[in-house]
Amino acid sequence: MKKLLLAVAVTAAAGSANAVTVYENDGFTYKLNGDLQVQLRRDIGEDESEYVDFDDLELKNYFSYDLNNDMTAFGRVDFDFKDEANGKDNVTPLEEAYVGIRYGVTSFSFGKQNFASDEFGVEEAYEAPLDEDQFDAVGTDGDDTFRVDVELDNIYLVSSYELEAEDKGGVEGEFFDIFAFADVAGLSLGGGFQKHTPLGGESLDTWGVSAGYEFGVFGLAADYSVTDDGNTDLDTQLYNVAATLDVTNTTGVAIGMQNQEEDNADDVTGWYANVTYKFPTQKNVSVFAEIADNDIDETDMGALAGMRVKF
Amino acid sequence: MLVFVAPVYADVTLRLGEGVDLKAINGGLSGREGREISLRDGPSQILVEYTAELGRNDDDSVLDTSDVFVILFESEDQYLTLEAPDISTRQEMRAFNKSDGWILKDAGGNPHPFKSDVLEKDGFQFARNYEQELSDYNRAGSGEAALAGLQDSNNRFLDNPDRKDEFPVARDQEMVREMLRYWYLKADENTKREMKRWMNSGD
Repeated sequence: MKKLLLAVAVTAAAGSANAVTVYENDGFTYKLNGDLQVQLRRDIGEDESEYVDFDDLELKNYFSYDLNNDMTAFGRVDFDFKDEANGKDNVTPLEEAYVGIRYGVTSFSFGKQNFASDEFGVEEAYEAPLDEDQFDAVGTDGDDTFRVDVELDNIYLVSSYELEAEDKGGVEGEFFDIFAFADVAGLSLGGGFQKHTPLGGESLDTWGVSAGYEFGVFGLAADYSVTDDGNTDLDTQLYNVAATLDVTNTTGVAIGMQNQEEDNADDVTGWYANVTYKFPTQKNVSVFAEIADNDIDETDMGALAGMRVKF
Repeated sequence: MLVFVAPVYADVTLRLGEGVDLKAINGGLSGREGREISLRDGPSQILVEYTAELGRNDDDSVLDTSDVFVILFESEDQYLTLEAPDISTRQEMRAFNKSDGWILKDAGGNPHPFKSDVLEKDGFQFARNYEQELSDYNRAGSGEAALAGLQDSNNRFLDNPDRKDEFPVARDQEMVREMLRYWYLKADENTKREMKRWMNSGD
């Protein structure tokens, strides 16, 4: 799930939780993070059953080496054991593995990692009833990805390129992505573009824009994204509207609505509402609950409740 | 007519902002919970770090903790707040560690002067001995926020150098002595001179 953080206070600040810096010496740093999220869930659908879903079982390793002159070499290896825990076959836990060089505000990295367009989106659901956005709707792989990030004070620019390599888990072809984000006086604006060229096929062009605004304890955001499939000459568009409210400094609620429509087909509307409670002494520990539904005929509302621990 | 005024023991209250973790106060491990701590009037040296959630989306965000900072400030009967700026990217965390962006302000929101420094330790970061590290840091005396005067000759950290016990007193006199010292330090020069004359007179 990739989305803009809508800056709900309860998600933006940690309490006395500690990230683990394992080792530091002569400019070398090794940090270890963890993210565990387990849900009791019933999916949207007809006569769905409840089950336990492992949404995140991640261990994230981050290495960096200070090369002096404002230059840093870094690497990251993330393992996520959720697929194993969920009983899927033929899975590997490796989620991200890349190395890179940072110089000032600019970093270049390559390996297995997220695309630039993965930064797009404002939906606030734990499990979105539809695709999160059109960038999410287009299948990606991310095994052979080059990426450039530029982090300025209020502007964030990312570009990524996925090589046209074969044997990539069913996702073939090259991807070129860009994403830009600006944050000024509580107003955040984002825009993304992706050009996916499958092997032997026409390209799929996806673009999207988003905006969010915070006023006190309230947050409001919306995004719109559309994919132009050159193979079918059909457009698919999706929009999100999301609102958040910090009820207290430990409790936040979010509601949202989505609509997705493909040319020559009926549109689908989904909605969700969730509440998150973060323990005041350790805000890296949270419990949450969500209900969600869509307007497809003969489907029942979905629901989930779960717990998340980060370090 | 002699009017007895109950002494008000003036303390400094320090509120820690969200994400600020207190490691030590005046050389000793904090062992405190909650966002507000009480400090004695005078110089205080605290050891803190800041943890923030980095990332532009909640799913991929990671917790990251700043360097450990020694912060030295002087205060008297004040309500102070120590905060760190909002940090959401590794770039901002690096800048914070380099440029020291701590914010110490009084009840009116005005900046309160302080000195700060990173307490560095090479090697594995598990189970750091902050008491020993602070003792070494203060004894070296070269750090920006070092305060050697807060340690005695055995490297034990004292609450306040003014409180060093030269004359052991009975337990029931500790508070009396504390209050005498407190009001003496509050007095202006005329009052102090009068008090000295009165004590020397033998009355």
